[in-house]
Amino acid sequence: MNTRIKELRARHNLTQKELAKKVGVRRETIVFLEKGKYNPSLKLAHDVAKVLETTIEELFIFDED
Amino acid sequence: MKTTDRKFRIDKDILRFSGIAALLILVGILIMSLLPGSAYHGIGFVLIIMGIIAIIIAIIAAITPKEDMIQDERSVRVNEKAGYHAFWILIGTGAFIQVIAMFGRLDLSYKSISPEIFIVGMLSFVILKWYYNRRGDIV
Repeated sequence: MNTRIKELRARHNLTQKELAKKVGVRRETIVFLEKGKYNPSLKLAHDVAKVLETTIEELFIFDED
Repeated sequence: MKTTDRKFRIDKDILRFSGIAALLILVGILIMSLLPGSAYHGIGFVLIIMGIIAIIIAIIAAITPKEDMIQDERSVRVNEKAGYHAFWILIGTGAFIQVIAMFGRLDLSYKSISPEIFIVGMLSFVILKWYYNRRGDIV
């Protein structure tokens, strides 16, 4: 799974810490999300997408295989 | 200077925990110095050790940013997974010792080995929690 969190976070001038605070998670959770190493719950995906003013489909890119 | 800029976070919870730790050490020292007998010495010693452990926990909590202490869904998943596997390690260790005792005709009782089994369980939980926290791909 790839994500565009890092790109959109930079566009919103947010640090990982600030994004984590807005979403209500630990900073390391954002780190793992950006690396595509953590599958978030639907609620967390929705919350991150809402803060970054985008949709879940835009934010998370799933490989077809 | 704001509290968040400090290297050591000092808030109500940290102060309360440090107070309890200091109280445990003080009571331990008082018991050891005022009451005679090895049993009271043992109780006092255990209280002092508990107090020292509590102080170490308070220091670790104080140097960790508050944002890193919150329980988010990932940390809950890490705890659940580590707890599940630590539980099976604990059960497996107990069963393994039982099998060795049965076939080796050893005179073992669960009462005598239960502290060791619980230590295995606790250590497994701590190590697995650290490992799953680092690995990232928690499902």
